[in-house]
Amino acid sequence: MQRTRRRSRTLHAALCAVALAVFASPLAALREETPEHAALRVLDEFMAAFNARDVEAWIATLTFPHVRIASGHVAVFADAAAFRDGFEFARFAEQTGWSRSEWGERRVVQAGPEKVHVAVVFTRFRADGSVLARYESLYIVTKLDGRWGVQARSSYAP
Amino acid sequence: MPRRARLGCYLLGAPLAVALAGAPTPAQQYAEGPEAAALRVLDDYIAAYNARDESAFVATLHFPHVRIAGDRVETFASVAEYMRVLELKKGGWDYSTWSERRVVQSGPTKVHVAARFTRYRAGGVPVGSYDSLYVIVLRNGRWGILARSSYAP
Repeated sequence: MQRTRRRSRTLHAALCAVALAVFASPLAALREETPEHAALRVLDEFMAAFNARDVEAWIATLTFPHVRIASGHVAVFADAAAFRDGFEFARFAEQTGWSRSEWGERRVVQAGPEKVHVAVVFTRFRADGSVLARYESLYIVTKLDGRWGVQARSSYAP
Repeated sequence: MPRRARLGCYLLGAPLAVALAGAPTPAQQYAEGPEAAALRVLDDYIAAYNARDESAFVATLHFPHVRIAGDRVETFASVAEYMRVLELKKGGWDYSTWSERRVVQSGPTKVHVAARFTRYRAGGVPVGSYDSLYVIVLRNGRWGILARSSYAP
Protein backbone atom coordinates (compact mmCIF):
# COMPACT_ATOMS: atom_id res chain seq x y z
CA MET A 1 0.00 0.00 0.00
CA GLN A 2 2.77 2.37 1.08
CA ARG A 3 4.85 1.37 -1.92
CA THR A 4 1.92 2.17 -4.25
CA ARG A 5 1.52 5.59 -2.64
CA ARG A 6 5.24 6.32 -3.01
CA ARG A 7 5.10 5.22 -6.64
CA SER A 8 2.11 7.48 -7.23
CA ARG A 9 3.94 10.46 -5.69
CA THR A 10 6.99 9.82 -7.87
CA LEU A 11 4.79 9.60 -10.95
CA HIS A 12 3.00 12.82 -9.94
CA ALA A 13 6.31 14.66 -9.48
CA ALA A 14 7.57 13.40 -12.84
CA LEU A 15 4.39 14.56 -14.57
CA CYS A 16 4.72 18.00 -12.94
CA ALA A 17 8.33 18.27 -14.15
CA VAL A 18 7.32 17.32 -17.69
CA ALA A 19 4.41 19.80 -17.62
CA LEU A 20 6.73 22.58 -16.44
CA ALA A 21 9.27 21.80 -19.16
CA VAL A 22 6.57 21.73 -21.85
CA PHE A 23 4.62 24.83 -20.80
CA ALA A 24 7.16 27.07 -19.07
CA SER A 25 9.11 28.25 -22.11
CA PRO A 26 6.06 29.14 -24.27
CA LEU A 27 4.58 30.97 -21.27
CA ALA A 28 7.81 32.91 -20.83
CA ALA A 29 7.71 33.80 -24.50
CA LEU A 30 4.14 35.01 -24.10
CA ARG A 31 5.17 37.15 -21.14
CA GLU A 32 7.98 38.73 -23.15
CA GLU A 33 7.06 42.22 -24.25
CA THR A 34 6.63 42.86 -27.97
CA PRO A 35 8.23 46.04 -29.39
CA GLU A 36 4.76 47.57 -29.82
CA HIS A 37 3.84 46.90 -26.18
CA ALA A 38 7.21 48.17 -24.97
CA ALA A 39 6.79 51.41 -26.93
CA LEU A 40 3.27 52.00 -25.58
CA ARG A 41 4.45 51.24 -22.04
CA VAL A 42 7.23 53.82 -22.43
CA LEU A 43 4.66 56.37 -23.61
CA ASP A 44 2.54 55.62 -20.52
CA GLU A 45 5.57 56.22 -18.31
CA PHE A 46 6.50 59.33 -20.31
CA MET A 47 3.05 60.82 -19.73
CA ALA A 48 2.91 59.81 -16.04
CA ALA A 49 6.31 61.41 -15.39
CA PHE A 50 5.32 64.54 -17.30
CA ASN A 51 2.10 64.92 -15.31
CA ALA A 52 3.97 64.29 -12.05
CA ARG A 53 6.43 67.04 -13.09
CA ASP A 54 9.16 64.50 -12.30
CA VAL A 55 12.10 65.47 -14.51
CA GLU A 56 14.25 62.48 -13.56
CA ALA A 57 11.45 59.97 -14.22
CA TRP A 58 10.74 61.78 -17.49
CA ILE A 59 14.41 61.59 -18.52
CA ALA A 60 14.31 57.85 -17.71
CA THR A 61 11.76 57.40 -20.52
CA LEU A 62 14.04 58.98 -23.14
CA THR A 63 17.03 57.75 -25.11
CA PHE A 64 19.87 60.09 -26.00
CA PRO A 65 20.70 61.94 -28.14
CA HIS A 66 17.06 62.99 -27.88
CA VAL A 67 15.46 64.97 -30.70
CA ARG A 68 12.40 67.23 -30.48
CA ILE A 69 10.91 68.77 -33.62
CA ALA A 70 8.27 71.43 -33.09
CA SER A 71 7.31 74.68 -34.79
CA GLY A 72 9.85 74.03 -37.54
CA HIS A 73 12.72 73.91 -35.06
CA VAL A 74 14.94 70.95 -34.28
CA ALA A 75 16.25 70.63 -30.73
CA VAL A 76 18.86 67.94 -30.12
CA PHE A 77 19.72 67.08 -26.51
CA ALA A 78 23.01 65.22 -26.40
CA ASP A 79 22.48 63.79 -22.91
CA ALA A 80 20.31 63.89 -19.79
CA ALA A 81 22.12 66.94 -18.44
CA ALA A 82 21.39 68.98 -21.57
CA PHE A 83 17.74 67.93 -21.42
CA ARG A 84 17.45 68.74 -17.70
CA ASP A 85 18.69 72.28 -18.37
CA GLY A 86 16.31 72.82 -21.25
CA PHE A 87 12.92 72.41 -19.58
CA GLU A 88 11.14 73.83 -16.55
CA PHE A 89 7.68 72.51 -15.66
CA ALA A 90 6.70 75.57 -13.59
CA ARG A 91 7.52 77.97 -16.43
CA PHE A 92 5.72 75.78 -18.99
CA ALA A 93 2.60 75.63 -16.79
CA GLU A 94 2.68 79.37 -16.16
CA GLN A 95 3.14 80.27 -19.83
CA THR A 96 0.50 77.94 -21.22
CA GLY A 97 -2.00 77.42 -18.39
CA TRP A 98 -1.24 73.68 -18.54
CA SER A 99 -2.06 71.41 -15.63
CA ARG A 100 -1.87 67.89 -17.07
CA SER A 101 -1.94 65.95 -20.36
CA GLU A 102 -3.54 62.76 -21.59
CA TRP A 103 -3.07 60.50 -24.60
CA GLY A 104 -6.15 60.65 -26.78
CA GLU A 105 -5.09 58.18 -29.43
CA ARG A 106 -2.01 56.06 -30.04
CA ARG A 107 -1.44 54.18 -33.25
CA VAL A 108 1.62 52.08 -34.08
CA VAL A 109 2.56 53.09 -37.62
CA GLN A 110 5.67 50.97 -38.17
CA ALA A 111 7.47 48.54 -35.89
CA GLY A 112 10.66 46.52 -35.84
CA PRO A 113 12.60 44.63 -33.15
CA GLU A 114 14.38 47.78 -31.94
CA LYS A 115 12.31 50.72 -33.20
CA VAL A 116 8.63 51.65 -33.19
CA HIS A 117 6.97 54.67 -34.80
CA VAL A 118 3.82 55.74 -32.95
CA ALA A 119 1.36 58.40 -34.14
CA VAL A 120 -0.42 59.98 -31.20
CA VAL A 121 -2.95 62.62 -30.28
CA PHE A 122 -2.61 64.22 -26.87
CA THR A 123 -4.77 66.67 -24.99
CA ARG A 124 -3.58 69.33 -22.57
CA PHE A 125 -5.93 70.24 -19.72
CA ARG A 126 -6.18 73.25 -17.40
CA ALA A 127 -6.35 72.77 -13.63
CA ASP A 128 -10.16 73.00 -13.72
CA GLY A 129 -10.28 70.05 -16.15
CA SER A 130 -11.17 72.10 -19.22
CA VAL A 131 -9.37 71.33 -22.48
CA LEU A 132 -6.50 73.66 -23.22
CA ALA A 133 -5.48 72.19 -26.58
CA ARG A 134 -5.25 68.98 -28.56
CA TYR A 135 -2.29 68.13 -30.80
CA GLU A 136 -1.02 65.39 -33.04
CA SER A 137 2.51 64.12 -32.61
CA LEU A 138 4.79 61.36 -33.76
CA TYR A 139 7.07 59.39 -31.45
CA ILE A 140 10.12 57.37 -32.45
CA VAL A 141 10.73 54.87 -29.67
CA THR A 142 13.96 52.88 -29.79
CA LYS A 143 15.66 50.14 -27.84
CA LEU A 144 19.20 51.18 -26.94
CA ASP A 145 21.44 49.07 -24.69
CA GLY A 146 18.47 46.86 -23.79
CA ARG A 147 16.22 49.73 -22.73
CA TRP A 148 13.26 51.22 -24.63
CA GLY A 149 12.95 55.02 -24.69
CA VAL A 150 11.64 57.92 -26.74
CA GLN A 151 14.44 58.85 -29.12
CA ALA A 152 12.64 61.55 -31.08
CA ARG A 153 9.27 63.25 -31.33
CA SER A 154 7.78 65.54 -33.90
CA SER A 155 4.88 67.49 -32.54
CA TYR A 156 2.26 69.81 -34.02
CA ALA A 157 2.16 71.64 -30.68
CA PRO A 158 3.86 75.05 -30.63
CA MET B 1 -3.96 72.05 -94.46
CA PRO B 2 -5.97 69.35 -96.20
CA ARG B 3 -9.15 68.32 -94.42
CA ARG B 4 -7.92 64.77 -93.79
CA ALA B 5 -4.65 66.03 -92.20
CA ARG B 6 -6.58 68.48 -89.98
CA LEU B 7 -8.83 65.64 -88.81
CA GLY B 8 -5.72 63.59 -88.03
CA CYS B 9 -4.35 66.44 -85.91
CA TYR B 10 -7.58 66.66 -83.95
CA LEU B 11 -7.71 62.89 -83.43
CA LEU B 12 -4.12 62.72 -82.18
CA GLY B 13 -4.02 66.06 -80.42
CA ALA B 14 -7.22 65.80 -78.41
CA PRO B 15 -6.22 62.76 -76.32
CA LEU B 16 -2.75 64.27 -75.78
CA ALA B 17 -4.28 67.52 -74.55
CA VAL B 18 -6.61 65.60 -72.21
CA ALA B 19 -3.71 63.55 -70.89
CA LEU B 20 -1.59 66.64 -70.27
CA ALA B 21 -4.48 68.45 -68.60
CA GLY B 22 -5.05 65.43 -66.36
CA ALA B 23 -1.47 65.24 -65.11
CA PRO B 24 -0.93 67.91 -62.46
CA THR B 25 2.27 69.87 -62.56
CA PRO B 26 4.31 70.16 -59.35
CA ALA B 27 2.89 73.68 -58.92
CA GLN B 28 -0.65 72.33 -59.14
CA GLN B 29 0.22 69.62 -56.63
CA TYR B 30 1.63 72.26 -54.30
CA ALA B 31 -1.63 74.18 -54.57
CA GLU B 32 -3.49 70.99 -53.71
CA GLY B 33 -2.15 71.05 -50.17
CA PRO B 34 0.61 69.97 -47.79
CA GLU B 35 0.12 66.24 -48.41
CA ALA B 36 0.67 66.54 -52.16
CA ALA B 37 3.64 68.83 -51.61
CA ALA B 38 5.21 66.33 -49.21
CA LEU B 39 4.73 63.46 -51.66
CA ARG B 40 6.24 65.56 -54.45
CA VAL B 41 9.31 66.17 -52.25
CA LEU B 42 9.62 62.41 -51.75
CA ASP B 43 9.41 61.92 -55.54
CA ASP B 44 12.19 64.47 -56.03
CA TYR B 45 14.22 62.86 -53.21
CA ILE B 46 14.20 59.37 -54.68
CA ALA B 47 14.71 60.66 -58.24
CA ALA B 48 17.79 62.61 -57.10
CA TYR B 49 19.06 59.57 -55.23
CA ASN B 50 18.62 57.30 -58.23
CA ALA B 51 20.31 59.88 -60.48
CA ARG B 52 23.21 60.09 -57.96
CA ASP B 53 22.67 63.85 -58.11
CA GLU B 54 23.98 65.07 -54.77
CA SER B 55 23.01 68.73 -55.28
CA ALA B 56 19.44 67.78 -56.24
CA PHE B 57 19.35 65.36 -53.29
CA VAL B 58 20.29 67.92 -50.64
CA ALA B 59 17.85 70.36 -52.28
CA THR B 60 15.04 68.08 -51.06
CA LEU B 61 16.21 68.37 -47.44
CA HIS B 62 15.99 70.99 -44.71
CA PHE B 63 18.76 71.68 -42.24
CA PRO B 64 19.57 70.92 -39.51
CA HIS B 65 18.69 67.51 -40.91
CA VAL B 66 18.19 64.49 -38.66
CA ARG B 67 18.69 60.87 -39.74
CA ILE B 68 17.83 58.00 -37.40
CA ALA B 69 18.96 54.59 -38.64
CA GLY B 70 20.47 51.52 -37.06
CA ASP B 71 21.27 52.56 -33.52
CA ARG B 72 22.49 56.00 -34.57
CA VAL B 73 21.07 59.49 -34.54
CA GLU B 74 22.91 61.75 -36.95
CA THR B 75 22.37 65.50 -37.11
CA PHE B 76 23.71 67.54 -39.99
CA ALA B 77 23.79 71.26 -39.25
CA SER B 78 24.16 72.45 -42.84
CA VAL B 79 24.32 71.42 -46.51
CA ALA B 80 28.11 71.74 -46.41
CA GLU B 81 28.38 69.40 -43.42
CA TYR B 82 26.09 66.84 -45.06
CA MET B 83 27.91 67.00 -48.42
CA ARG B 84 31.13 66.01 -46.67
CA VAL B 85 29.70 62.61 -45.73
CA LEU B 86 27.14 62.07 -48.51
CA GLU B 87 27.93 59.10 -50.76
CA LEU B 88 25.01 58.25 -53.01
CA LYS B 89 27.11 55.76 -54.98
CA LYS B 90 27.73 53.49 -52.00
CA GLY B 91 25.40 50.72 -50.89
CA GLY B 92 25.37 47.72 -53.23
CA TRP B 93 22.14 48.59 -55.00
CA ASP B 94 21.36 50.44 -58.20
CA TYR B 95 18.09 52.22 -57.61
CA SER B 96 15.11 52.45 -55.26
CA THR B 97 11.39 52.92 -55.69
CA TRP B 98 8.59 53.73 -53.28
CA SER B 99 6.51 50.63 -52.61
CA GLU B 100 4.07 52.44 -50.34
CA ARG B 101 3.55 55.96 -49.03
CA ARG B 102 0.96 56.90 -46.45
CA VAL B 103 0.37 60.34 -44.94
CA VAL B 104 0.09 59.69 -41.20
CA GLN B 105 -0.45 63.22 -39.92
CA SER B 106 -0.51 66.59 -41.64
CA GLY B 107 -0.79 70.27 -40.93
CA PRO B 108 -0.24 73.47 -42.93
CA THR B 109 3.55 73.40 -42.42
CA LYS B 110 4.38 69.79 -41.51
CA VAL B 111 3.52 66.33 -42.85
CA HIS B 112 4.48 62.93 -41.44
CA VAL B 113 4.72 60.25 -44.12
CA ALA B 114 5.15 56.52 -43.43
CA ALA B 115 6.80 54.94 -46.45
CA ARG B 116 8.21 51.66 -47.65
CA PHE B 117 10.94 51.61 -50.25
CA THR B 118 12.53 48.79 -52.21
CA ARG B 119 16.16 48.72 -53.33
CA TYR B 120 17.04 47.00 -56.60
CA ARG B 121 20.22 45.77 -58.20
CA ALA B 122 20.83 46.69 -61.85
CA GLY B 123 18.51 44.51 -63.89
CA GLY B 124 15.62 44.93 -61.49
CA VAL B 125 16.49 42.31 -58.87
CA PRO B 126 15.14 43.47 -55.49
CA VAL B 127 17.71 43.69 -52.70
CA GLY B 128 15.35 44.52 -49.84
CA SER B 129 12.31 46.49 -48.75
CA TYR B 130 12.37 48.75 -45.69
CA ASP B 131 9.92 50.87 -43.73
CA SER B 132 10.82 54.48 -43.15
CA LEU B 133 9.26 57.62 -41.78
CA TYR B 134 9.70 61.18 -43.04
CA VAL B 135 9.07 64.51 -41.31
CA ILE B 136 8.54 67.02 -44.12
CA VAL B 137 8.21 70.71 -43.32
CA LEU B 138 7.48 73.97 -45.10
CA ARG B 139 10.18 76.47 -44.27
CA ASN B 140 10.94 79.74 -46.11
CA GLY B 141 8.33 78.82 -48.73
CA ARG B 142 9.95 75.45 -49.54
CA TRP B 143 8.90 71.96 -48.53
CA GLY B 144 11.78 69.69 -47.54
CA ILE B 145 12.62 66.61 -45.45
CA LEU B 146 13.69 67.72 -41.98
CA ALA B 147 14.05 64.28 -40.43
CA ARG B 148 13.83 60.62 -41.40
CA SER B 149 13.83 57.42 -39.42
CA SER B 150 14.56 54.29 -41.38
CA TYR B 151 14.54 50.57 -40.69
CA ALA B 152 17.18 50.04 -43.40
CA PRO B 153 20.60 48.89 -42.21
